[in-house]
Order: sequence, then structure tokens, then C-alpha cells
Amino acid sequence: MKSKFVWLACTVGLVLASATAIAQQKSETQPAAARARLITQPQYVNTLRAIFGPNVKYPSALAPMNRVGGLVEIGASAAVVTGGALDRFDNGARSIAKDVFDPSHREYLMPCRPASEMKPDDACARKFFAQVGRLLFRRALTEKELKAYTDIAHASAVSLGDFYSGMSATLSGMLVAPEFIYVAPATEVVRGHSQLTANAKAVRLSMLLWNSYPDSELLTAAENGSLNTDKGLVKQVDRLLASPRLADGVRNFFADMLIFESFETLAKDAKIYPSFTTQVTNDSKEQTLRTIVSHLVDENLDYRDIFTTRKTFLTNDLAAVYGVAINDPDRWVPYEFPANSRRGGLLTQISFLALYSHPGRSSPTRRGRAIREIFLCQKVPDPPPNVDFSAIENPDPTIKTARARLTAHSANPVCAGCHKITDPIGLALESFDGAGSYRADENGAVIDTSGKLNDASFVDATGLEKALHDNPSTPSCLVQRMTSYALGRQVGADDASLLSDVNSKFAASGYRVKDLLRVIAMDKTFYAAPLIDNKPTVEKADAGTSKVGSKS
Amino acid sequence: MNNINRRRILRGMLNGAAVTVALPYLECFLNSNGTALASGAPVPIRFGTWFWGLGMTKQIFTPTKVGADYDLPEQIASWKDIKQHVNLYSNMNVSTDGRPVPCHYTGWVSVMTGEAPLNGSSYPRESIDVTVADAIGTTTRFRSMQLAATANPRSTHSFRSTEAVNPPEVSVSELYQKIFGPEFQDPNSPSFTPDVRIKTRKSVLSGVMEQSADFRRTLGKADQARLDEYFTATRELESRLALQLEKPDPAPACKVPAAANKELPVGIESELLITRHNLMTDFLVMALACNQTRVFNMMYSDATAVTTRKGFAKVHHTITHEEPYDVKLGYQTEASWFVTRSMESFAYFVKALAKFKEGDATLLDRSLVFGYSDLSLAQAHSLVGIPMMTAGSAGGRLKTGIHFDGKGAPVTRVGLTVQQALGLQTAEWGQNSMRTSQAIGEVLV
Amino acid sequence: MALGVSSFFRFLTGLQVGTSRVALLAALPLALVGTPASAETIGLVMTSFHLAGPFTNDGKKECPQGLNPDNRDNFRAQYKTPEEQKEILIKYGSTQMHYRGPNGESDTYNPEAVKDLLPYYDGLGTVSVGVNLDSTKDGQATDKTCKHAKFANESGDAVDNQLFRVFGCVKALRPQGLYDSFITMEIPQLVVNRWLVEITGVDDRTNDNQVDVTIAHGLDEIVPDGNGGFVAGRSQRVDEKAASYIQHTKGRIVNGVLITDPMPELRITGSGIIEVFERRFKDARLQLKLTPTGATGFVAAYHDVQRFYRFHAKSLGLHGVAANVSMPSIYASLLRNADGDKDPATGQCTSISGVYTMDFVNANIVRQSSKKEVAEVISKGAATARP
Repeated sequence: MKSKFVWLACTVGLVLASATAIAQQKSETQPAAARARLITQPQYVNTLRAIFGPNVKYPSALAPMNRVGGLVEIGASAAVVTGGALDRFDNGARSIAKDVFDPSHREYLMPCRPASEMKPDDACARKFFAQVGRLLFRRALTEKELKAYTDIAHASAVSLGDFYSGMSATLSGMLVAPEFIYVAPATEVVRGHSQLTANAKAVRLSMLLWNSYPDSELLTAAENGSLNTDKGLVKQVDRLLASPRLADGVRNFFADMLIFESFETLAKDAKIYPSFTTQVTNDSKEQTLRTIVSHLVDENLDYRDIFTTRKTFLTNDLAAVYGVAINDPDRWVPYEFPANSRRGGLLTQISFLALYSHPGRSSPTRRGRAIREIFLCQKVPDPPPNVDFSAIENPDPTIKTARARLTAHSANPVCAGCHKITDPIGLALESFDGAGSYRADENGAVIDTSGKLNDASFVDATGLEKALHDNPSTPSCLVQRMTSYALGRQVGADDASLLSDVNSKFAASGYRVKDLLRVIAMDKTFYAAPLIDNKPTVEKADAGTSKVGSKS
Repeated sequence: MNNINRRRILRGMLNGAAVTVALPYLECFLNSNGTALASGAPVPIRFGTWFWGLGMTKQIFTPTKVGADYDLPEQIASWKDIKQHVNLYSNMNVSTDGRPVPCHYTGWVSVMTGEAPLNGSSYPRESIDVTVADAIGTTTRFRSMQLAATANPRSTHSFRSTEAVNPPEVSVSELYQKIFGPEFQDPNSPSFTPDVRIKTRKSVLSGVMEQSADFRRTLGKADQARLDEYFTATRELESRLALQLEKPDPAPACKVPAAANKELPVGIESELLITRHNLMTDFLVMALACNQTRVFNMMYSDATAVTTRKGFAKVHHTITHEEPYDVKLGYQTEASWFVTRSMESFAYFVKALAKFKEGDATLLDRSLVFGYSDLSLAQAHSLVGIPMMTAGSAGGRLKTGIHFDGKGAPVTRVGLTVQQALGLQTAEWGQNSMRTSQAIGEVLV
Repeated sequence: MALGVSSFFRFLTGLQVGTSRVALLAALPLALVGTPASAETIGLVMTSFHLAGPFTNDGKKECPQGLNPDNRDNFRAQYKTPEEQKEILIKYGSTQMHYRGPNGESDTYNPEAVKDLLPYYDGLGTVSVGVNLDSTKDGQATDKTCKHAKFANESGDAVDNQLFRVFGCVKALRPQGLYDSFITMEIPQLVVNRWLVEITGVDDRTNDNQVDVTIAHGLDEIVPDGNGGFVAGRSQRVDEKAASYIQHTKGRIVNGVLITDPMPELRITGSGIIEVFERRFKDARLQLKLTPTGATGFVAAYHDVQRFYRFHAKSLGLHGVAANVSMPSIYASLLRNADGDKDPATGQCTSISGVYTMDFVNANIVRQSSKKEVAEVISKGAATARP
């Protein structure tokens, strides 16, 4: 009885998820309203690098955040700064502030020179804080704030006997200030409608497209009101989409969606996969991100083709695992697998194959589950507790392939429900071992890679990739993820019309991700005021003139 | 001059979110004449947890003898030299009161919080080390220290809430830098000059926080609550900086160790894992001796331990599910190999504290290490008979060397006992059917 | 194993019109032209290089009288009292003990001017890998060779390896000795040690009566793997500027072992204790047992004694104390054991036979060319060891 129930739970759960993903999510416990987002590691680096330039060192070890609804970016809306997490911010802030005022950098980073390096210089300090503070806090500092930071720098310069040390101490304080590390969507009521302030709009826009706080030009557009006009908005969206920084945004979104933080702990058994070195781990992640950015940003091609494209980028270390030659082993080279290759598309890249494997062997179940959850937005339930594994245990040494092992597994109805969903697609990738290398056989036995994804049959990995390419859930899953990412919350039933609209526009664009981003960025819903508990708002008559109390 | 004085205790109380106050400090408070430590009276007690995943094999783990001088079956044979310091708690259970049971999760969350979680991605309340750290961890440089021998930045069982998680140290060299890097103040240094840079940092931080009060007012309620956590963390940082401006208490046993000379690779192949665990343990011991922290958590492996063994295709977790029983022995021998290694590492950990002399006692005498796993028989995800240990006597408050048979009692009795041994005035602990007011009298002094 | 030629052509035909075939051809293996379409190419890059011989761990068997004394020992034997020693050191302005000739000649650069007083022991033994270079069964002198004791390989065939006689009891050149360790360390570190072997026209990896072998200097690093070896299957560019190092010979595969025809002079760059030099193997033959991920075997050849001494003097002699060598004794031993290229005028042999063992891992050997186009290779799991 019990086992039958579990089987049903898995199957029904999946059907619900795939058919009406939105309805199912409504039942989850996500608050409908976006809340203040804590800055993520990539946003932190992108933002500060845009302000202080590439020569300053940006240590990267902020505390990890929880993944919610498939995205860390949503987890950022719930993340809390504990003592340990604050330490990471504090260490990073001091190191960066020190480097900013290092003699080698302050020459060009400071807008002025102090009258004496040994003493405070309030005018110069004030100039710096006005300029940098606006970029850190995404709004002009108030007079009160400016005076306060200038005073802090003054006192610090006196006690340390050095102007720049005082500046550095103050900057490191600003870099741990909640105004910097938290992004709260400030709202205002304009003609009876609650909406994001222009500055908050600017933040939302640049977080989506650049994964960074706004630059000065975007803030100016917010401050002078032009961002609240259709023309002004178009101008900024076009500008951001055309910028090389768009690659940062797209890269971050996919790294988040593909759960690439798992690379931090990915390790393979060195005896079994001796060539899978740390360099391979790093390069395989980079390979996939480069492929995605090149395909979606540089070439502006159909999103679905990332599952079938044979074009990619390789290093010598990756080429060794792929078993191919490259003729410039010193650097990243563009590479196209031949038409008859077994490789092509994201699923046959090492990043996917190795990440969803065990340290010493492949895992059709993990791979299948990852395909369902990451690319199709379906939820595969966790294995049930208290399964009597001894009933399905088969020590039979004649079992040579994963398919044979999993068939034994499926004899148990408790397991069969979910394994039926994950394994047939995961088994299509069995020609690739746990490190992602091609193998002709498994323990001497022929590998059967045939299977079905919904109604689409295939005989091998290439066929699976084609099936995924053609699956209607593939683009709609991306829309769902991208919209959640943009809003910083899980989309739910309330967003159904938005999603349907975005989906049809995405399809009309030929599934171009740049167009998808533009559609979201131009949609009013994207800038609608979130329903926030007890959220104070500022009443004002006209858009774009007041900055009172607005924190973006 | 002893710094454990009224001012500091009050500050600790105010800073900590909890109102529980550790008894040793209360005593100190009552006697506050500045000589308590010098006279050797109440000495700080340390508390820490030590976790390993995937339980044990009852037949070759649980001693047959109950009480003192218990026998050491195969999996804990490595306790030969430490068993006089170790209490083993067997036959104690987690009950979930009908809540769903996410595998490899419910067990350890229940042990650490006294309550079964509602699902596989949330914590019902704060972990026991946070409760303890609020009471005894506020006067050291670090309120607590999380170490992950797994090198996984997400390996931690220390949290105030689902979102407020204490991240672990995952790198041996970064751990060294954190403790003994440039900000370390040698407590035995003959001279002391408050560092003007630290003084400046502290006043900058206060100044910045003053500005931030306005920011809080712009937020909704839920975000205000989140921000309050942030302010708590900031105040902790401020008081840590304040501590560094005072001459540290002398710690004669403190000796700065040599730096870690090379970084270990990522990965949890068994030998590598053990090396990392041992190096981290050695630094931790010195951090305790140097009064840098009094509370710690060591994650030896994760609940779904993916520890590998050189040349074996399957990881520990997979082996527990897929390895057939040895026909003669009646248990899984390969899975058992990993448990035995885990218990050897626990022995290393306890020994490291036991062999460290601190005046007339050892560090272990003044510590309480709480060891636990997430389940008993991993193959079946069994929450019945979750193995737990304590090592050390918490300054003489706990009897040691005893095997306690819980006879099916809730695991929370151990958590309660631990808190009472540490002087917390916790009379009852745990939720629902695991709520208990019965500390284990057999081991409490 | 490396470039599958047939699949390569499939790749070419699969390309769209307009793609530059010229650029692609540049990435072809070295000796591809003219090989049958079904043949396989095996690319290899060298990862270890050691003097061969019947070394035992403690050396007692091959060196019953112990390891040879170094220049410090000989210096002290030559100048017995501390006063004498001090005087010499002051006189030649050096703390080194090299200036031991009658007129202060260096023991390293003028080995003939210095006579070591302590005895020098050649390595003893009867078994070694190698090749019968002089074609005699017993090592008797011929018109071109000098009398020497033969070794027997594991099949019992007579082989030559006189370098073992010279260095068998010299600590630095024994396994894990200073010189040997430096070479092991420098092979991955210094690209001058990159030694590529490409075997083309392989119809059968086990037995093939004719294959083509190309040896060249490579340009790319070799990378340690997680298992104490080196990553197999990485791409290696041929150093095409160093055309004189691109050398061809024929060979055959017998029971999975590549046996090359003799090469009159095989030239390979290398290093030893940071000194870079060119090794010249005369009448060289390679024997490499092919494995799924590489090859292991040896190179047997003659070495010109004077030339061999000179580059060893530089790298080895100048580190005399650390390396535990005394160069005059080594020089004498080289001459004493020399067995090839007899000088008809003096009867002294001027070259010496020697065998070095080597390991290789698979590599995809490519010519440098267009930055953009690359060759496709089917390499069946080269990067993955399967037990």
C-alpha cells in the first residue's frame, strides 16, 4: 500500500509540475512580495570593479546563500548576515579599501589631492564620498550622510596620522554598511499607484542585465526623471544590452541556474579519473559559460540551440578529457566538434556530465534529475526514507552496466516511480563516464543509450539533446527562471499573465535571450511595487523629482 | 589583571540575543575581585560539536557493557586511549511526530535543535552551539568557530535560523590566518599597546552604524527583522574590537603554532579528509588555548557523506545503500571501513585536547565535546539509536568513561544534559514528544 | 592512441564549403601524408628519463665496496693535514675543493690534470635492458669496438650498457640521487625536455612490420595528473622552428613493443641541474612498450665520451659536493669503459654505450598553424584510466 502511494506521489507531482508549474508553486511557502536582497558574491565584485577598476584586488569569499526555487538570487531575498558572514564582508571591505588607497591606485581613483597627506582634508574627502557613495548606495548621499562620512574620515585621519588611511578606514566602513550590502526596493506612490522609485528601477534594471549596481549614467537617468519616460527607459535598456557588461549578467544568470557553485566542491577520484585535475574542474565550468555567452550574447542565437550547438571553446586540459587535439594549447581556443561527433550541446559538455556524476562513476539518475529540474523546471522528489535497500540489492557480478543496475532498482515500486522519470533520459548520457570522457563500453558490455523524453524517442545523447531542444518546456522553463531572477522572487499564479506574455514574445523573437531580457526590462510588471509587509512609502506628486527616503 | 569583570559580563549578556547566562560566569560575577582566574578558580569551559555522517554498524559499534569501563567493539577500537574521557550514549531515538522525514536531515537537525524539522530545507530553531555560544562565547575574539574538514563551504550545523547560518572555515591556511594572522594578539606578550588601527576601525563601525539606523526605518517588518540580525552581528564585531583594545587575559599554555605551509587540494578522498581534519584540529586546539574562541563545530563529514576511498568507484553514502551484507559477518564491510576511519578521527580530536596541558589540567578536562551522527544504520536511514558521545568533563561537571543505554529515550536528553553541564540554566529542552526535563543523572556530577 | 585518420577525413568532408582546408591540413600529424587511410597514429610525450641498469635499493649488490668517494674525500686524501687543505683553499681563492691539479687546475674542467687517490668502483651486474649495439655475444674487441662485459636482457640476449659501469656506484646518478631527481623534476618544469614521438601508419597496435616514427621537440607543458603520473591526451605542438630536431626513422611493432631502426644520430635537447644541453645518441634505437595511456621503454645508443663528459662536467661537476661526485674519477671511468668508435691510431674507444629508460603518455601531436582551426581526433578514453 505504502509503496504504491509513493509511486503515485512522484508521478503526479511531476505531471503537475510540468503541466502547470505555476499552480504548483503557489502552494509553496514563498511570500509573494520581493524583499531586500543581500548582495551576492558576483554582484559585489561586478559592482566594485566597475567603480574602482580592474587593478584593485577583490577577494571573493562571501558566505554562501541558500538556493530557493532553483536560484541563489531568490535566496538572496531571505539571506541574513550572521557574525560569520559579516566577517567575510568586513575582511573583504578592508582589503579592497586598502588597495583603493594604495599609492599605486589612489592617483587615478581619487578626484582630488589632499593639501597634506598627513592631515585630514575635508573638502577632498567629501568629494570622494559624494562620488563613490552615490554608486555604492545607488543614490546621492544626503547632506547629513556626507557630513557624517567626512567627519569619520577626519577623525580617522587624525588618529592614524594619515589622510589616506583615514579614507581607507571610512571606505571599509561604507562597504559593510547595510545601505551598500542590502538592496531594498524603495517605492513611491505616483498618482495613486504604488511603484518603484526611479532609483530602484535603475537598480533592478542593472541587476538584471549586468548583475551589478547601476553606473553613473543610469543613476543620472533615474535622478533626472528620464528613466520614468518610455523613451528614456528604451534608451537605457538599449545601452545596457549593447554593453560588454551584458556578458556579466548573462554569465551570472546561467551560473546560478546551472548550480555552478557545486564546482567549489567537485572532486573526482584521482585513481579512477587521473586526468580530471583541478584545472579541468575550473576550465569545464568556464567552457560552458563561454559557450553560453558566445552563443546567446555575441551571436544572439536561439536559446534552444545551446543544447545542440557543436561550437564551443577548449583549453588543452579540456581537450585531453574530450580526447581531441587543439593546436594552440596555451590559451582558450574556439572549437567546433565535427558533425558526426558524439558531442554537441550543453548536456555532453564535461561540466554537466561530471557535475552530475559520482566521484568515481557516472550517475544516470543524477543526470536525469538535473535535466528535469534545471532545464525543464520540474521537481523530482527526494528518495523516500526507510527504503529497504536490501530487497533490491543485487550483488550479481554479471550486472555490468548502469542500465542493468537501475533495472534491478526499478523492480521496487517505491523507487520505480521516480527512477522512471530520471533514468531513461540520464541513461542516454552513459556513453560518457563520471569525468565526462567518452567510453565505448562499460565493463566490456555494450551501452544502450536509447530512451524517451516524454513522447520523443532517441537512440543516443545527440538525440536526447535534440529532444530537449524541441521540448516546449525548455524555453518556458527559461522564462520562468529568468522572470524569477529578475524579480528576486519565485513567480507564482499571480504572475501567470506576465509569464504567458513573456513566453509568446520570447517565441516570437526566435528564442533570443537578449530579446527576452528586453521584454522583461520593458514590462511594467518588472517595476511594479512589490507587496511588502508594512512597507513605508513616500507620497509624491510627480515622478522623478523627489529622492526623499528612497533607498533603492 | 583579569578582564572577566562585571562590565564584560553585562556586555556579553546585552550583546547576546539569548538571556541564558553561563554559571561559571555567574560565579565569577559574584566574586568579581579580579583574581578569579589567577587563583585558578573558575576557568573558562569550552564547548564544541563533532559530527560525522552515516551513523554506525550497531553490531560492531555499541559496547555490550553498560556503565563504566565499557568494551570497545571493532568500530570504536581506536578509543583505547581516550575511552576514560568519553561517554557513549546508545539506544536514543528521534521521533518526528508525524512530520515528513527528509533523509539525512531530520536526524541531525533533531539532535542539534531538539525538534524535528518541518521539511528538508529549513531549521525549526537555533542550533545548540548557538545557544551555548550566546552564553559562553561573548567574551572571546570569536563567538564560535565552524570548521569543515569536508572543505565544503556549505558544511555547517551551526545556525540561528534557516537564513542565518554560520559559514564554516574550509581552508587550513585561511583558518590559520583567521586565528593567528596579523590581528592576533599574543596573550602572553609582556607589553600591550592598544592598536590605534583597531580603535579607528571600531569608531568607524560605530559611525557607519549610526547612519544606518535611518535605513532600517525604510524597510518592511520582515526585512527589519533580517536587518536586526545584521546589527547583532555588527555589535558583536564591535565588542570583539573593543576586546582587542584591552590587554588580553594571560594564557600561559598559548603558543602560536607554525603557519600551514601549503594548501590542501579540494576533495574528500578519505586520506585527504583525515589530513585536513587533523590540521584543523591542531589549530583549533591552539585557538582554544589562546582564548580566541570557546565554542566550535567540527564537520568531519556531511550527512550524506560523499567521502571516497582511493580507487573505489562508489562514495561512502552510495556504499551504505548498495553494498551487500557480508554473508558471514552480517554487515556491510566496505561501509564499515568509513565508520572506523571516522571514529579514529574522533579519537584524534579528543586526544588532541586531552594531551594539551593547561596549567594543572588538560584542555579536555575543561571542555565538553558533543559528538553525534545523523542516523544509526545508514542503509535504512534509521533514526532509532542515533549514536552520540560526549568527551571531557566540562570542568568536572560531567562524569566520563561511561556507556549510557538510553533504552529508547529521546536524543534531547543528551542535549539537555550538555547544556546543564555547561552551566546553562536550561530546565527543559526539545519540542513535542522529544521535549524533556530529564537530564541524564548517571553522568551529571 | 591519437588521430584516427579516417575520422579526420570524415571531418573534412563534413565541413561546409568555404572552410579553409589549408589551415586544417596544418594541424595534421607530422607524417600523415602518404599513410594508408585506415592506419592509426600514436602520439607520445616523454615524462621520465633515468639511467638504466641493475640498481638495487641499498646498492649492496652492484656496489659491494660502497658508493664512490666525492671530490671532498679526494681533496682530503690529496691534502692530508688541515694546514695543507687551508693553504690550497686560500691559494686558489675558493672554498670549493676543485683546484687540485699541480698548477691549481680544476678537477672538473681539467680532469686529466688531476689524479684521484681514492679508488673508484664501477657498477657490477649482469642484467640490464638494452640492445646489442656491437653485435658481439661476449663483448670482445672488434675493429670498431673495445672489450667490455656484456649484460643480458630479460630474454637472455646480450646487450650493452657501459654507462651503468661508470655511474652504477655514483650516488647522484643512482635512482633518486641528486642528478636523477633533478632530471625528474625538470622534465615537467622545463620545456627543453619536451620530447615527442609520433608513430604513424599503425595498422595493428600489437604486430605491425612497418611503421613510421617521427621524433621532435615539443612546445607545451606536461601536466601532473591526480595519480602521480601525467595527464594523457593533451595536445602538444611540434617546435617547427627547431627543424633539425624533427627526425624520422622506420620501425616495427612486435608484441605491442615499438622497435625502431637504428638512427645514426638522434638529437634531443635536455637539462640536468638547470644546465641545458643537447643529447646526441649515436646508432640510437628506441624500444617502447605501448600501453593504453602511453608507452614505457628505453633508448639504447652510444655517446661520445668527450661531449658526454663536457655537459655532465658543467651540470654535475660544479655541484661536486652536493652531488657527491669526483669528476676526474668519472672521466677516467668513462675512458676505461668506453666501448665504441675505436680510434684506430690509439686503440682508445671514443664513445660509450648506454641505456636510458623512459616513460611517455599519449599526446595529440599538432603542428602550429592557424589559431582558429583545429583537428578532430577520436581518442577512445585516453584521458581515463580503466582498471
